[in-house]
Amino acid sequence: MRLNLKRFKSILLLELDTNYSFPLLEIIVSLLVVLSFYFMAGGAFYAFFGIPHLVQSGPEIIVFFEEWTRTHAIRTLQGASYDISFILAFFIPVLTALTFGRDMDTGTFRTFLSYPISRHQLFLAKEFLILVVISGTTSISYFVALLSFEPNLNSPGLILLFLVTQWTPAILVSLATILIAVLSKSLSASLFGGVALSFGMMISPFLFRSMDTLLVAILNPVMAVSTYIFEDYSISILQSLSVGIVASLAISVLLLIVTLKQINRMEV
Amino acid sequence: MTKASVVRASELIKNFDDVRALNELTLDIEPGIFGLIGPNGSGKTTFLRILLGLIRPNAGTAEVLGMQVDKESLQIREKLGVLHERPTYPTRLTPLRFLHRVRDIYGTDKDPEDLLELVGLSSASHRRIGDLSAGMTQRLGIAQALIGQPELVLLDEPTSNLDVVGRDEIAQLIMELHANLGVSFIVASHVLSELDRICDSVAFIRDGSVLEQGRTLDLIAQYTTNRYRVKTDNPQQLAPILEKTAQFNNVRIVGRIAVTLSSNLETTADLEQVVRSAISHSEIKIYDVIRANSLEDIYMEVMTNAT
Amino acid sequence: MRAVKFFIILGFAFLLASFVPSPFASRGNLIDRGYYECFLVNGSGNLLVEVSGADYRNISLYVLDYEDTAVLVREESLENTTPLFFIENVFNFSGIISLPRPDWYGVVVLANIANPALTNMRYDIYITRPVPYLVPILLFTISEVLGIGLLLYRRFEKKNRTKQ
Repeated sequence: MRLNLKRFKSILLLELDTNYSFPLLEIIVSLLVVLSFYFMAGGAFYAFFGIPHLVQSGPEIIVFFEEWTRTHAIRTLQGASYDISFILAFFIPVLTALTFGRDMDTGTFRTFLSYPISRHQLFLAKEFLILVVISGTTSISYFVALLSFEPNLNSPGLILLFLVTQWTPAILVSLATILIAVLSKSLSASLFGGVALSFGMMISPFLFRSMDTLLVAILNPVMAVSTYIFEDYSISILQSLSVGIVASLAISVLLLIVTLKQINRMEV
Repeated sequence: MTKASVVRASELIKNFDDVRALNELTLDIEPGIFGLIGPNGSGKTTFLRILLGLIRPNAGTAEVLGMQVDKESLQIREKLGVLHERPTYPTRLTPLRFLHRVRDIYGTDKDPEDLLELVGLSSASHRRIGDLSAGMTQRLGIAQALIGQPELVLLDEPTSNLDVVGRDEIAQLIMELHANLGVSFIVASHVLSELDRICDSVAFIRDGSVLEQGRTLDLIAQYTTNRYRVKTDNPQQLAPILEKTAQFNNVRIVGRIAVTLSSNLETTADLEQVVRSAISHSEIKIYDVIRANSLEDIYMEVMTNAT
Repeated sequence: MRAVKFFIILGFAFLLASFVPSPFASRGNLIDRGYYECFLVNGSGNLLVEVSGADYRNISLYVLDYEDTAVLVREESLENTTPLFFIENVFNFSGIISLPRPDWYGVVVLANIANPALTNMRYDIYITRPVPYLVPILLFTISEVLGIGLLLYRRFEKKNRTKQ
């Protein structure tokens, strides 16, 4: 077990050196940090009212501004998540295609699998790094930016929901892209296939406006969470949203099983 | 399987779509330096990839160091080193860092700097792999194959990118490593000159089947007794003349500079005298007459006999 | 060396993040005698406030924390509040106000109308978060310290090894 962990760490380092060589990793992480701050800083800034207020009484205004600050913090988070989801929709398939498709294309996969590395370990190391570099960086940057700019957002449930929206499509798209790479063993096929799938998932709720929230939660969860907020935190939408997220994870698990089987069968 | 066998393959079949790459290949390889000889597309690389667990055979079994390739691939690879044909390494890493990483995967304590020195790459240890020449990359390939302190090293066309001097150096290196570290080697190649001097045993394969296998010296004795090589400037004209000579048979043209033949004459001097008298009325020049006992000669014999 | 490069570049990313443009509040408004104009502002570390009364008339400026702003709204008076910053009876003010932490703050403007004939006066205000923001600049510092510290440590270690 200990040797396995040590070996897994070594594989991670080898993968990091191979596919995230300087300055690619630094550029991706920096870009995601800056964008997270940019989207979050551009959110709600001020509200104005006179005292004494001509229309509302003091307590009414307090309720108003407490609601206002919270709502605007949520809107900021929602807007930022929405913006960043498009960035992630690009980064996830591209990075996955580069780390899987390119390695299969060039023969690096064969070189690595000639060492005492199991196929599952190599797959896990690659997938782990993709998710940590993209979704991990975004989540941490989001959290820091949120603390900086939206201190009044005391809604851990909502924050969690938005973080989930960064992870579920990332897992699904990356696994699908890996599967394309494994089946095609081609960089270009995995690159175009992954990007097409990712953006297809993003824009399909716009194309089919009447799409059910459950399906939207699978394809573009940020949009589903936005609907949940706009619809005044409707329980029924939350239910659909939750089922959609669970369904997305279930599809990912299915994809994981298929991908692992394919990787095991793959001839390199 | 004898206890000493490092590889044993039994009736391996491998198909790639409609192409049969291995056709009931059976092979028993003992420790030492083993040459796997065959033309391009004969199934050498496919065989090595099966041993590594990179591809699965359609039928047949294979064992490496006493372990089944289909069940204990990871354990086998812990004791194997490999240099692939046209190897691909992370181009942006330095050889030293790459070897460190690979060593950590094997979990050995081999010093990468020592290995780089051994393969003559210490001066380039801090250059990027992508900037190395083909020969340097090949040397790095040998270094990374040895970093795990393997019991067996598979080398697939190890000198394919090298010039004559480089080939000679790699051949020397293989012999030294075998002598000093006791590592066994399986060298798959179609460049016979390098295998000639280093292989204890060889197998000739074609179309996925073993045509002949044995100790190199035994095969030389078996195939080249009474075979001679006549070096000439005009083998095309010389061959028909020699065919008509009573003392010679099995006359074959070897490239543009030689003819091989069988004869019961005792010495090369006797043979040269007969050859010269046969061509006395022509302008063909004879440069040398030697015994045809190189691996290339055996290869020609085996391949021709198999046709 | 990779970790050194990573921390140094990440630090610069935080530095860049600390300068990303922020929205601002800008108004030219009429303020009635005895009224407070309150701007509830999301302040991240510091706040840049520029305010001036029209025609050289006096104004007062108070910056309250979130709780005190609520007290002001409820009681319609600054009496029971402790402003974080205040400046009274000035023609204009322009400066950075230090805020103890990122939070919402009340920026309150009060007109000091001396002329009894006037019922209101005009004032202009501009509020924004001054760059760099506090949290990313702190992260920039931490990241750079880590990067440079690691670099120096490696050099020190290398020197020691060479000596040995």
